Amino acid sequence: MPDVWENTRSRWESVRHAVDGGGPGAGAASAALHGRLGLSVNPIAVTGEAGAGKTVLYDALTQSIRTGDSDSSRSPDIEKHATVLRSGNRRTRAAVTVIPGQLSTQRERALQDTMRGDASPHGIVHVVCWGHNRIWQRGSQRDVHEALAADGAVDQEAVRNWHLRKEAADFRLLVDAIIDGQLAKRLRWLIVAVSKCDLYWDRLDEARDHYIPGRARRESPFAALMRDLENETSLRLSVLPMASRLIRHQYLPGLPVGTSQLDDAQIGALRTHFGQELQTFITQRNGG
Amino acid sequence: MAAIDGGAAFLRTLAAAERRLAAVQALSARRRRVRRPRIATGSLAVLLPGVLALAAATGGGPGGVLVGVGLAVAALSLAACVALLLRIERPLNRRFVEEERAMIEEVNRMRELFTHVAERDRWEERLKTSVRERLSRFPVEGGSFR
Repeated sequence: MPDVWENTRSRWESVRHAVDGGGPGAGAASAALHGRLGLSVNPIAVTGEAGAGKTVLYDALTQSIRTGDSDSSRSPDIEKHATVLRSGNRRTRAAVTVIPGQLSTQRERALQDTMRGDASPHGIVHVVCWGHNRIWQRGSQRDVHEALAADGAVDQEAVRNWHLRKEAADFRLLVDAIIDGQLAKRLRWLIVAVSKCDLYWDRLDEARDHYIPGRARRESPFAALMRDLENETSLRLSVLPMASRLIRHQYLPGLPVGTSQLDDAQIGALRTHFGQELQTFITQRNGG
Repeated sequence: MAAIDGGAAFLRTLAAAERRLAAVQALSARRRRVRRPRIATGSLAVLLPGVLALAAATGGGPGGVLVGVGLAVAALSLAACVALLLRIERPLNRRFVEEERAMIEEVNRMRELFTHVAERDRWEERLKTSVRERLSRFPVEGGSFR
């Protein structure tokens, strides 16, 4: 039986190849989430750190944003969406809840409503961004700058590592709670969406080896957690690159700005592949 | 804004934010208490003249004394409504917004620094869990008090 992580890498590489080689674009017939009210037959939770791009990812999948849309803002509350997933003649209903990334009353309420006790999503889309999280407040930006300066140089890599540590700590909580049966008891699949990858397309191999276990000489804490999930649960797992729209990224005020290395068509291809993977996971759960 | 440069400063800031949260919650409750009589007096000020005008229009209207008393009560209600709004509710709202903004700013800083401080000071798992629970009692911006 082929190694699950080899399959995951192979899927990752096929997406990269499609994007680099001009694969199916945004206009191609694809699985997409269209905003519709309906029965909640496929509960899905979107999780991840604050500033990772959960809401923007959802919006991209529902095609409610285009790449030229204005800047995003911090989501103040729980976001719940009833949607219909389409692929050809097939339609699948989904209830998608975006769980706030910050420790807060809203996050607790969202977890209580969707993941604790008898409530459980069938699938989780966990959004990460290889350390390209956005920090909204000036005060927090200053704090991060000071903390990094106390430990050494303040550059993009230092900021990225700051966020990667937070990202791994956040994922550890989720993984431990799933393995211990405290959260999402009826969970069947988990997709890690490696978002904002248009900002680091030239370093995509590093991002892949950070999130997918198996190839790196020293496995990252995140990859180790993915391995734990594989060993301790029967979840179907996937890790895919994703970019929701063209963006610029300011690591911290005073540092160089990161810009998108992909164009609209390539981002469209990423969205298409991600949407197809999502639909495959949902429909296979339904026995399709 | 005090620097959060270590575990001790972090826990001090968290305790201060918790006191602020209690104050914000008290202000929120007070706002709700003030809003009820303001809405009641405002409704009375609008309804009374309306009822009197309707009664006069249908022909069987009340006598002059009753109309005078009714209008006086309506005027007093309007005055009470305006006074409640300007003297109590608006200052309360301003204070609430200021306190809430200051609290959320502090808490956002702690949310950003939590992992770093916990790792650097090698916090025990129990302390990390406790701090996580405490931070989870705060709302995010535009959150739950409105």
